[in-house]
Amino acid sequence: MIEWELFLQGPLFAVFLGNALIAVGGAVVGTFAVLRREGMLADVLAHAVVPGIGFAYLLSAQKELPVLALGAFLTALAAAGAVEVLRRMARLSEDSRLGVVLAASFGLGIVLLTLLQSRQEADQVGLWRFLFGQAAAVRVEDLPLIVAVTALSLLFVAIAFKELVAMAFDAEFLRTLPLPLQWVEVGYRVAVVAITVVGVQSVGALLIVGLFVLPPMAARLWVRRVPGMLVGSIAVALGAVVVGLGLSWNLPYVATGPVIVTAAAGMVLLSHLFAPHHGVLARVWGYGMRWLRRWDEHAHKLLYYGIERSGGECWEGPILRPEYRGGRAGAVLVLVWLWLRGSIRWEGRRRWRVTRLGHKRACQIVRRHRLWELYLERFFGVPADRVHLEAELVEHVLSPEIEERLQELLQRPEHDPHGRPIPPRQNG
Amino acid sequence: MNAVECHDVTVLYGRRVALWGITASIPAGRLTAVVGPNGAGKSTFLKALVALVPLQRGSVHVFGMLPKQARSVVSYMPQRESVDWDFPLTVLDVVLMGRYGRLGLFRRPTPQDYGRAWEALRTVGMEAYAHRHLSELSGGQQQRVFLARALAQDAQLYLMDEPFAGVDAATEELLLQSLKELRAQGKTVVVVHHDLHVVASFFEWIILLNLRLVAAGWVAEVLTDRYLREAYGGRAEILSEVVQRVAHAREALRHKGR
Repeated sequence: MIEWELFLQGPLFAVFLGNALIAVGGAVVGTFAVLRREGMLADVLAHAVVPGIGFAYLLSAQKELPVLALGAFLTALAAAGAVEVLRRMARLSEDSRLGVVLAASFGLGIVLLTLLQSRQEADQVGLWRFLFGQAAAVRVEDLPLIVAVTALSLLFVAIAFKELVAMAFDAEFLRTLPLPLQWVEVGYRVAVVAITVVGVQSVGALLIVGLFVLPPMAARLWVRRVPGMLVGSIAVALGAVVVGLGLSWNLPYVATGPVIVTAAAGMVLLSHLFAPHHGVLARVWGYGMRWLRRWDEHAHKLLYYGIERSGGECWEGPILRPEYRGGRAGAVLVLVWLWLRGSIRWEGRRRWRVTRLGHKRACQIVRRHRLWELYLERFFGVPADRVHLEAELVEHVLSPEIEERLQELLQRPEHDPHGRPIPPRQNG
Repeated sequence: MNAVECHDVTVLYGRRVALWGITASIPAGRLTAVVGPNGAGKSTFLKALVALVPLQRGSVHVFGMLPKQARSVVSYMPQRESVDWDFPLTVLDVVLMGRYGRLGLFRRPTPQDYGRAWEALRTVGMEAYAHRHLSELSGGQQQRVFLARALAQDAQLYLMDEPFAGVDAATEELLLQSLKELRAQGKTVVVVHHDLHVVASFFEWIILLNLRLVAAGWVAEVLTDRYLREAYGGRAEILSEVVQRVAHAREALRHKGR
């Protein structure tokens, strides 16, 4: 208990709270950056923070966070303005516009910092930490600014949520409505810049874009709507902070900020692997299940040929066709599969009995196959010797509804183009 | 009375001309088609009517007001391809956006707004899809969602950019039906369209564009060989066939009318 109290009051708690708030703010605002496909813009703004810090120190000779943050805030806003001006004035593509502003502002920032370093001030003041970040150096005194910025950003998102979502989805439509949306736009930009500015000291100008885009990217794969995406990306961001701080407390020489961002990137990777519907595993699973279904249907088709060969109602006798090409091992595999599926019963002495269920399944797949053959021949004039291969592909995707429509269209036929019977549908 | 008056409307994208000196009007309470070849500025023309693009020269008046003042009575439907249909939203979320203009900034939709959104969904036959995710929709269903959002706006002037592009036959039928109903309610509808056959048989007023105005007027006066040749240029073989079909369609329509 004593340790817990110490933690709450001590510098470690400040580090945890500061980083967690920055990550949450980045995740929430970043959700809209990702939805608007503006991740690169957040990166440009982060780089434009660096010259602001240089200017602020040069002019004020103070190293307090609020002073440096003000300078950073102003240059980042100027960079956002510059991107907008270039959009209207110059004929550049979006990536070139962003590249120009990023390179120019970051270059200027490094020039200023090296200038200060030549006066041997930057090292003392610790200005370089804004480049690479020093998550473990968040102090109790910094907390009020971080809390205020994050709280205001979250409040803004809560108020303007419906507009922010709609603008990200269809900005053109929204602009035709009688609404003063420029205020929402300004508020959003200010929130992005403000979180960048307070976050830069922790994660660094080079990496903070990771806090904006990675948690929403991971969350998006798991959810269907934007509120879920917000909750998901907050969870991912907090998870990354816990992993990052935990690792760096145990490995003292590892920088915390990069570990946080790497952890978030890892969660994007994990989401791509494990997410439902979109994840790699889900897709492999779906593919595997389709393959298995095809295999199952082919096995039942072989069963039907066995029934057909042994004659009408008789469900006994050797099941596989003598001309089956899968070899002896393949034939055994098919028999075992059909047995596992409950389609056939072992009666001893090389005799199998087809169950009712097995008969129904076997009839269904052959019925679909032959209906499709007939459909192709009748309505598209495909020659009878060509329809088999086409039907091999289509038989697996025909649904009961389509099957019924085919039956009606073909007036419940009794024979396929090869003159073989089409097994009717049994009730019960 | 005219719903829209354009005078010398000129729009540039950078140095490229998108529209040049368009002077035309659109009568209120009629179905109007905006027709022209690819890149003729059809979409730009619609955007000029809602002030989505800045005018280099000229003026637009909608119901006697400037476009920005007329926004509460205008509904604009962008091209279906202009948005990301993999966006994490449901169908109902999108249709509700049609109410945002009336709601005002930061207000939550009221039960009345939900009611209007459901009604619009019923009109386009998408009620069963209300809670589906956007990525599960076919092209025709996407277009129906956009139509429902426009209907939920309850506007006086409807501007629709290529609503018939790439939709199935059932959706096309439904779109035409909805346009008829809007017309019956006295609304003005302006549709960018490229199927001249449908234009001839269905719309009343036509604006024929090819960067500049080729012709504007009643369909019967504008859809002539001369104007079409002027708008579409060299592709005359296809054109004369189309014109013949148009003439037949008009003939058929006249007989039906009697």
